[in-house]
Order: sequence, then C-alpha cells, then structure tokens
Amino acid sequence: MNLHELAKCFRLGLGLAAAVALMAAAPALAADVETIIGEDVDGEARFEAVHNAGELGTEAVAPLAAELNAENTLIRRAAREALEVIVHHAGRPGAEDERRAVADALAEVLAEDHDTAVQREVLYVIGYCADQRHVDAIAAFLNDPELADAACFALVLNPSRASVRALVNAFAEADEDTAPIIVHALAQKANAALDIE
Amino acid sequence: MEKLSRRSFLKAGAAAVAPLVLPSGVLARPGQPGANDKIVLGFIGVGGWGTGLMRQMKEVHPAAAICDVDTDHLASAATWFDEDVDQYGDYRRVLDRADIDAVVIATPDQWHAIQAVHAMEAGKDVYVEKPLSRTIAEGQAVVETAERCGAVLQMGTQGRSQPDPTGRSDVRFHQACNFIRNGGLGQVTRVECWHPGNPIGPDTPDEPPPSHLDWDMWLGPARWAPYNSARCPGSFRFFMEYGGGVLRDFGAHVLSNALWFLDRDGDGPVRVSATGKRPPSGLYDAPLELDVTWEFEDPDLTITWRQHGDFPSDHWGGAALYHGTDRSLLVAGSADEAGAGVADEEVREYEPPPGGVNVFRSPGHHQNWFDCIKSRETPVMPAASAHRVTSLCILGNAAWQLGRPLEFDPVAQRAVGDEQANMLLTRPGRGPWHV
Repeated sequence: MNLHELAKCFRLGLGLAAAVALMAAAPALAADVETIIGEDVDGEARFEAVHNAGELGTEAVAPLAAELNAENTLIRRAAREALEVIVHHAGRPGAEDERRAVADALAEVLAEDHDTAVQREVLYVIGYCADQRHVDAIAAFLNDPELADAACFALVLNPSRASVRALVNAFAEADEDTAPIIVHALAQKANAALDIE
Repeated sequence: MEKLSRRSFLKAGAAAVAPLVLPSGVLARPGQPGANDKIVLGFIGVGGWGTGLMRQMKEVHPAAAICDVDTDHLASAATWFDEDVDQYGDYRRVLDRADIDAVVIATPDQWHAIQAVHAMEAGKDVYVEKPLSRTIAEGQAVVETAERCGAVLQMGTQGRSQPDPTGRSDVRFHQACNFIRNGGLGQVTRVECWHPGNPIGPDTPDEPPPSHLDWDMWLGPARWAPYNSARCPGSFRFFMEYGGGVLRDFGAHVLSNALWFLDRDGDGPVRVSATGKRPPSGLYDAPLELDVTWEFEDPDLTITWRQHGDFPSDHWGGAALYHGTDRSLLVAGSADEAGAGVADEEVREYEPPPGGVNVFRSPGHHQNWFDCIKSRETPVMPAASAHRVTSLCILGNAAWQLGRPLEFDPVAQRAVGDEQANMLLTRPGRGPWHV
C-alpha cells in the first residue's frame, strides 16, 4: 500500500489500521526525501531515490519544493527531477485520484509565500497534472512579469475552459510586460481549443 | 462560453500575435533562384558546428549574413570572410532580407523547428541541423509548413549522402541501403543501435550571463532558467530541455540510417519503452545510460537503442547491427579504432541487380540541398523524413521521462490513452517562441 492509498483510506474512514500503517510508513518517507535533498548524500543513492520518487506521492511535494531554490545546485536538480518523477507517476493512465492529489499539493505550494525560483519550477511541473480546479492557483501568477511565462506554460497544458477564461481575464488586466506573454499563450491554446469541453 | 471554431480561433490568434512576433518581411515570398543563379545564403547559429557549415557552404554559394545570439561567435565567424559580412543577433532580421534565398540553421536544438518554420514562411529554403524539433507537434508544424510553402528543407543527417565525395568516401551507407532494400539480409526484423552514454556535467554555480550573450534569446522556447556556464554553448546537448542527450544527437544519425535502409521513412512505432540512469552528480540531466525499444508493425520491426558500456561489438563510437532472416550486417556510424561505415566487403562493393532497387545517390548532403533548391525536387532528408526520425528520439526520451511504456498511434502521431504523454509531446514554447 503506498502513501496515497493510505491517505485515501483515511478519507474513506477506514480508520485505525491505516493510521498505524501510515505512522509506520512516514519514517521511510522522511528517509527517502532526505536521501533526495540531504546535504551529505552519496550521488548514486541520491539519484536512485529520485528515480524511485514516484511512489512518494503528495507527502513529498512540499519538502521537495522547498529545495527548488537550494544553494546547492545538485540538491536543486534532485528536487526538481524528483517532483517531475512524482508528477509523471501520478499522471499515468488510470491514476486520476493520484494525479489530482499531487496537483492539489502543488497548488498548496503555489498559495504559500515562496520565492520566484520555487514558484517557477512548481508552475512548470503542475502544468502536467493540473485540471480545472487548479486554474485559479496558477492564474494568480499571470500578471507577475517574472512568472507569467511559467503560469502560461501550465495553463496552455490545462485541459479546461477555465484555463482559457483565466488567460482572457488576465489579459484584460495585463500591463505591457505580461500582455504579450498572455496573448502568445492564447495563440498556443488554439490548437487545444477543439478538445476543450 | 461560446465554443470557438478552430478556424476562427486561429484567425483571431494570428491577427493578435503576428505584430508581436513577426517582422514585416517574414510573410513575404521572394522568388526562388533559377537554375543558373547563385544561392544567397544566411547562416543562423555560427558556433563551432555552424561555423564549419558556413566555411564549407560559402565556398560554393555566397553568404550574405551571419547571425548568432553570442557576439563572440559572430566576431569569430566573421574572421572567415575576406570582406565585411552583415551580422545580426536576431534571426528575424536575416529572414527579413529579400536578397537571401536560403538559411542554414545550426542553433541550439530547442530553436530548430521554430526558426525553420519562420524561415520557410519568409520564403527561404532551409538546411537545419538535427534534431528537427523539441516536440512531435513542432515537427508536424515543420512538415506542414514545408508543404504549404513549397520549401526545400534538408536536415543535417548527412549519412544519407554517404559516401560523400566531399567528405568521408569510405562510409558506404548508400551501398548498405541498396543491399538491404534488395533483400541482402532477408526480412529485417530487428535493429540494435548503440552509442556511449551522456557525460556527467560540472557543478558550476549560476551567475549573470556574460555581456556577449543574449541569454533570453539563447533560451528561446525553453523553460526560463538562470544562466550557468554548464548549459552552453556546446554542452546544451546534455540537458533534456535543450539537446535531449545523445539519443537526439548521434541517435538521430543512426535512426536516420535505419529508417532509410528499411524504407520506413513514413512510418512510426506503435509502442515505445525506455529505462535509464540519471547522472549521480553535476548539472547535466540527460541520462547516463538509456535503453529504448521501439516496436513497429506491418511488418513487425524492433529497433533498440543501448546507451551504456555493454555493446555488441567493438564499435564503441556508435553503430547499428541489422538482423535479417538470412544474415546480419554491422553498420558503424562514426570513426573509431574498429573503423567506420560498413566493413563487409560484399556490401561495400554492392551493385543492385538489373531491375532491382537502386536508391538515389546523393552528390553530397550540402550539394543535394543546393541542387534541390534549384530543381525544386525533394532532397534526401526532407521535412517529413526528418520529422519521423526526430519523433523516434522524442518518444524514446519521453518514455524514459514518464517512466512508463507508450502506446503510440503513428498515423495520428499521438500517445494512445495517455494524456500526460501527449502533453509532453506537444508542450508549449516560452513566450512568442512557438509554432
């Protein structure tokens, strides 16, 4: 049983057994995340942990995201790649609940007060798993000149009418720095327009 | 919200975007050079490889302009001219020049498709380095644009012009192609390709870009990232976002040969799987080791790519082993101590039988492009073939990045039942840099 399935058990009220299992699993999760973003970790072990990060799921999102601006460039790289692995794992066919949960966790990071480097990388990865429910969290960055590119990337990939609406609304408020970026996102959205219901 | 039709959306989008993206001359369509005319060339990207192309081609046809986002590259390339040559930092200024007939694109890989599309829309013929595109969608746009504009596009997988009288005449790919197409191996069911892995990069700190480099233009459609000397110039190959590793570099050559030899240029795989190993240190993120399997149908064919130390022959520099129902053939792709090209004497001297298949013999990759610009015929590595080869590289990397096999529809050119895979295969470009 992976962490996401355990979390799902909680939501379904399946109770004590899941709680016990999660408590047992949490130290392992912490160890795996520490292997990815720890300072004194063997490189082979670090990137083996990155390779296997998919199963870490939502619980690992926040601690990994916090390292996206790490001083140590190798830790930064490992955190970014691990988040990509988590997003791609959650995005596999038939794993809708996992995909949504990971997108929720990334959207929570976007709602927090992080620096630009963190938010940029989170915007890039959330693009691959977000849906209509995450549009507002992403669109909040459309009028930030430093982050509008990344927000547009995520919204162009977003398969919802809400993403088009968010871009149009942001364009109405945009200044001379962000307006061209949003217009180009709308242009790129054209190819996906027929698929939007 | 009213649902927009594709046509109205595109029309409105194009009207809104064009003034922001395109210089006035880009949509013009100058006349093509006649059979006896010189072809006036522009060179976009004049780093190491681009300068090499420039030096060779300008001996045959005049070069009117060079372009690079790095003024050091421009200054260095300009020293190869006896007289002043026009220099630009923005490729759109080259495309604006009505006197330029054709452009040679040797920029970092993330730029290839966008610059090729814009060049063809400006009425230029195009020689573009491999790989053709970052994504499947970009590659499709290049193919569509080449057809719509009637442009002559040649991609720089020069193996299709070997032996090249102006290059390495010992590499007998043309003979190997004829041998295989005439059934010399029987039915080819499996091709094993291999190459050394990607290197481990340095661990250098981010820093402000140097004054001679326009970093934002260097990135172009790629995700924004802080400047780091590990990323460029030549090392861009080892980042997934720019070069995509040796699979998209040398792999494009080996896979170009495979599709050409087997006459499957219009085909694509139905299934792709990949496993790999991440670099344990440094900033490069392209996999050290990578194993990819592409499965084709009708007829069945399996192509594999092996990118680690366990090679099936002494050709460590990159090669392919073609397995037919009758026999196998080793075709080395680059020079190493075991030799280059095709060692088999029967194949090296092969002549097709009367009435047999005899594929067009290119007079040289550059010369073939020049000839086709004048004749308006199709060169040996046109957009459609270049796209199929590049698609193999893109799909191999995507299967590794996603961590799962892909079912692929080679006609629709979409992953089947995997929308996240399709996002990766069609991901948008940054800001105005999209097609």
